[in-house]
Amino acid sequence: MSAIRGDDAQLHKTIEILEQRESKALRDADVLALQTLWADDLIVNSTANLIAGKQILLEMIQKGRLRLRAHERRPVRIVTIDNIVVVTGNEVSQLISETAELKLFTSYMNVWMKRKKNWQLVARHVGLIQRAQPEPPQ
Amino acid sequence: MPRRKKTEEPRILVIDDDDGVREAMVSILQVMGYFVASAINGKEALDYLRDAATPDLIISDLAMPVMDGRQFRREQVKDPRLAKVPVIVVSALSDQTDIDANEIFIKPVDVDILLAAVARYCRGEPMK
Repeated sequence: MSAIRGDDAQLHKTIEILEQRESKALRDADVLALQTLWADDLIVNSTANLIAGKQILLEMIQKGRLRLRAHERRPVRIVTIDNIVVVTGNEVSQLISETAELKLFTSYMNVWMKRKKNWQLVARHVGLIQRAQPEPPQ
Repeated sequence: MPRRKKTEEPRILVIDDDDGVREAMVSILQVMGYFVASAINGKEALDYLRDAATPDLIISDLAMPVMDGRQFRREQVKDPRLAKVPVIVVSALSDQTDIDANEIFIKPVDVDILLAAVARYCRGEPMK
């Protein structure tokens, strides 16, 4: 896909926008947005070392079992390989669980793929850097 | 010890000292319709099981403080009420020797495969 290679800067901007849109959708539990941004065959390896697909992740979000109070994403490197864009960087998430809130500092790798005319997230790996208790609200 | 109604959802006990792993596992199983209890080590699990209804399945980590998965299993099989409860071990340890379990999953674990195993041991589909 030479057209993509020759236009990397523009493509990277597009992917950066998608990265932030997906981060916001996660934070807002916006299932409709995630339905579009996530490929049907999405595969996610989480910090809990559990590999899950789109259906169960959406169900967990819908049922309030995967809730984020905050989610910040900072891409560090973006690489284009044909119709695939790989993004790696770091994230800070504030997870709301049944018993407590957890602040997670993680590294991540997202793989975006262009199918038909749309870019969708097809794979995601999140690795734990550090876990902390969030600061109490002011 | 509480008696169980036949119409109740299958019961699973998750034992893991890692808060993130334990809570993720519990959430997934609850979303799939199982009744799930959890403990942070083998001792807490045995304490819970003393007064709770017998679970259909135990999912346990191996390396845990206070009482690890192997010690827990040794104590479990000594109790006639608990001895036959199947155990799935989920562990980061690659050394699979000397693990007494019905199934062993090495992390990372494919949730679809784990849920298929859970459904087998809980004899049927969860009450989703």
